[in-house]
Amino acid sequence: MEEAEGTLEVAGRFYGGGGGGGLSTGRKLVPWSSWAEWRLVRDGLFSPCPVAALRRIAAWRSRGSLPVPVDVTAAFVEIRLRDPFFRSVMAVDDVLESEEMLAMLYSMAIMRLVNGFVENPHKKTGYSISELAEAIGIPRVLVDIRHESSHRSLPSLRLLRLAAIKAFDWLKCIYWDSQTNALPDVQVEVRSKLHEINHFLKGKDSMKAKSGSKRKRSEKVISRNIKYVRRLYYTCPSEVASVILDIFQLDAAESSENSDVQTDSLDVDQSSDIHNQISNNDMKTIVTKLSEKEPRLLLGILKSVIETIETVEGLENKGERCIVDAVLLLIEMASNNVKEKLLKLPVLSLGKVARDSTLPESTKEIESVEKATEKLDMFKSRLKQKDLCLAENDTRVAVLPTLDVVDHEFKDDILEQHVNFEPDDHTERNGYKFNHPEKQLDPESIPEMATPSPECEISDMPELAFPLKGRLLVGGVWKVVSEEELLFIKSKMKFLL
Amino acid sequence: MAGASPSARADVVVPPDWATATATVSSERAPPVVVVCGPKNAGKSTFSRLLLNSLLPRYGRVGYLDTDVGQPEFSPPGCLSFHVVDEAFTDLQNPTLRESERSCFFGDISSKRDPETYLNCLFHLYDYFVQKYRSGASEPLPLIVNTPGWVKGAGFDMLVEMLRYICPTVVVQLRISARSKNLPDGMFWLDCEQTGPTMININAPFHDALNRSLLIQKDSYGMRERRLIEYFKQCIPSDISLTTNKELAYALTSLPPYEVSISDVMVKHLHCQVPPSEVWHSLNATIVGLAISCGTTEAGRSITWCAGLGIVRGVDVQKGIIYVITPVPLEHLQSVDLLLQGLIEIPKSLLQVKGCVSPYMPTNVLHRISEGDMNT
Repeated sequence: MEEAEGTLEVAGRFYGGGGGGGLSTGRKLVPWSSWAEWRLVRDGLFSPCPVAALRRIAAWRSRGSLPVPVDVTAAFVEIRLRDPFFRSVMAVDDVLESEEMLAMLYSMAIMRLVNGFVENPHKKTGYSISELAEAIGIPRVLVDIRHESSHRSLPSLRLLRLAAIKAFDWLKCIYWDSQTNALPDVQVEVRSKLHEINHFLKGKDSMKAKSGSKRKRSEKVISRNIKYVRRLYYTCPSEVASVILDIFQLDAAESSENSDVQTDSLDVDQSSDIHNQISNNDMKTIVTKLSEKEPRLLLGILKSVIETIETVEGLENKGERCIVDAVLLLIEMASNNVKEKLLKLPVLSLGKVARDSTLPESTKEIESVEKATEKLDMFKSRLKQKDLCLAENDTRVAVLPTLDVVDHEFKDDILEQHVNFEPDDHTERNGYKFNHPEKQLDPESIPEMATPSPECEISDMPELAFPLKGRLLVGGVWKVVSEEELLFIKSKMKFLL
Repeated sequence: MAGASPSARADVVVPPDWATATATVSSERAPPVVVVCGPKNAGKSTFSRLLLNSLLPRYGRVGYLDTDVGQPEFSPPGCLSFHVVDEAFTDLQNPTLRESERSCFFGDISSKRDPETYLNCLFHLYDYFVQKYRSGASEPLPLIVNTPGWVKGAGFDMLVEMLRYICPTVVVQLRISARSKNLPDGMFWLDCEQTGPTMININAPFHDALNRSLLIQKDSYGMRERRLIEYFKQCIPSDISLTTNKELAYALTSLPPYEVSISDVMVKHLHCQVPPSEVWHSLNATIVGLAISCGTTEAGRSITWCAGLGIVRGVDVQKGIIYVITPVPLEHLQSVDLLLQGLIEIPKSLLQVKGCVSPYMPTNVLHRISEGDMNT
């Protein structure tokens, strides 16, 4: 293995990039919008019915940037579907009877596998294909088949089937399993972050007297952790929601048995704190903080509540009781939150309102609030009836950006509104295929978007008679800001970026 | 020009054979139809710009058929387009974005993926030019056709077909010192001795000390990214200064998108087969060509003109709405009834700006085989 070290290093770079380990150090463009989607496809591919997974991979392929191992794995699965030999395992109608054609398909897939992994390093280093293949552990038989089928006669179908199974297993180990292991366990992460937030939150309460620097530090830790949880929520909403729900349930269950489990452990280090519970009250504080940053979170949790109830239906009464408690609490929070948000959501999505200098309270908003409240009431009643279905089904495929900095909630909120709350009053725009929510862009609104850049001179903006003047988008809300505040924000910009 | 170092390229010196060539073409009796061909990076685009500048004084307006989908002169990547230019190039070395008169979205950066469709687009644009600016026009316009670096294989075959269809009056061939990489001599696209066009051979402008051609070094991937960035920058009003990609990414994410009702448009995948159930997963957060279908021609080919490119910001399947941002003006958008998905990727630099990172840009992506796995 000694002399292979150098080779190994190069051969390992099978689809671009460098950096230590098998993981890319930064971000990489991929065709899936979340790891949950990736997992779904992975599980589908290795299940007896891979058709749906293959369909999704076809969509991925059309987006470009499909990793070689995904592409080739899909090819093997698809060929198997056509091979009468595997017919018993997977029942599909369009089997390919010609052995010749099947052999052709298998060898092409194998050829693409070997080339996909070693062609680039081969060109760069001049090492032979077989040397490179050995270095990254491609089964030798695949390398031989690549050679045979491109330069000699087509290998036998029997051999090819064996080789395809080997290739499939190799891909599973080298890509699917490795990538699975490389992903952080969201549940564990969320749990630990929530506990950390809780720890510092409580620390803050009882340590009012503590020196300012310490308090600042803990505030920083809290907001960092909240941001982190939020990011996790973007990638795996259902997991995050279910962890939060779990914690709620646990407390509800505990408190019904023995009333006090809380041990206030301020000086104990965090690792032991993790084992403690977070009370529902504390959770409420945390969830409130989280949903300030990400309003969709609450709805996400509700959705997962409903899913849980559906699956737990048969359980004994006590368990259900706990869930219902948690749910009612959440609903209460959600309805408050939604109302507030909607009231604060004026200017942007409604261009016309922006032009009137009197700001909020348009009929449209009130309607939306009423609608939202109605919806939530419906939720409540449905919960009580235990006749539940997924009402708040977020079918939006996904939005392009995940917005991270407060000043950019703008777009997100607009979409949010379209997706969840906007009443269907497109009548005025009927007849147009392309509708601009804000018919033409107001140049005045743009500087607001550009504010996070330190280069941008906020105070030097052209001041026109416009309602947005003197307002800044903070946390999805247009707030009136004074000159001093602007300067203060500006001075803080460097931390944001 | 012999011995000119690559760094000296900043100041443009027109080689004598180039000057002679442009003079010959612009003194043709009738307005010429010129096809410029030759190997990659030899200077075809630069020569075409020079030629356009030299034709302008006499004709006032010059037609330009842009056929290089990888490095287009006036359009974003993936487009073939026809332009009428009435303004001379000030920068002879770099392409500039200009609105086209007619454009087709091919959807890939190389014509090789679908030669037939590619040629169809090209022929349509040429027909459009002939109809509007040649036959029957009181003052026929000259036309410059710049080609991609087609020399061999499928590309060569396409060049032959294109030359046969267009029947140019002048063919300018750029030649480099590596003879095997040049196009064949003479009128290689004609079968027998027919009366062909004027043939002009010129050499690539830069040479090393041994008089070998120096090809122009280009970072074509980076050029395409910058092109797209420049294109989508037009979504933002021009009085907003956006100097960095970061600022542009913020501005683009903040832009209110157009709502397009799913029932009003057809979606067509140009280069991939996508199952109907997966269309939205395929389309989300990708670049699409906004096209207008115009029925079929006498020849039975279906035509779709492209109004411009857009980015699909999101799809709300339940409401049946696609959210699109595009610099195309609203009045042109009204007739768009077709979204064409090709393989033109959104520049990665716009997708990973802190604060608005795309969900398609995750961390923890396995991109090579780690050593631990190799020992198993």
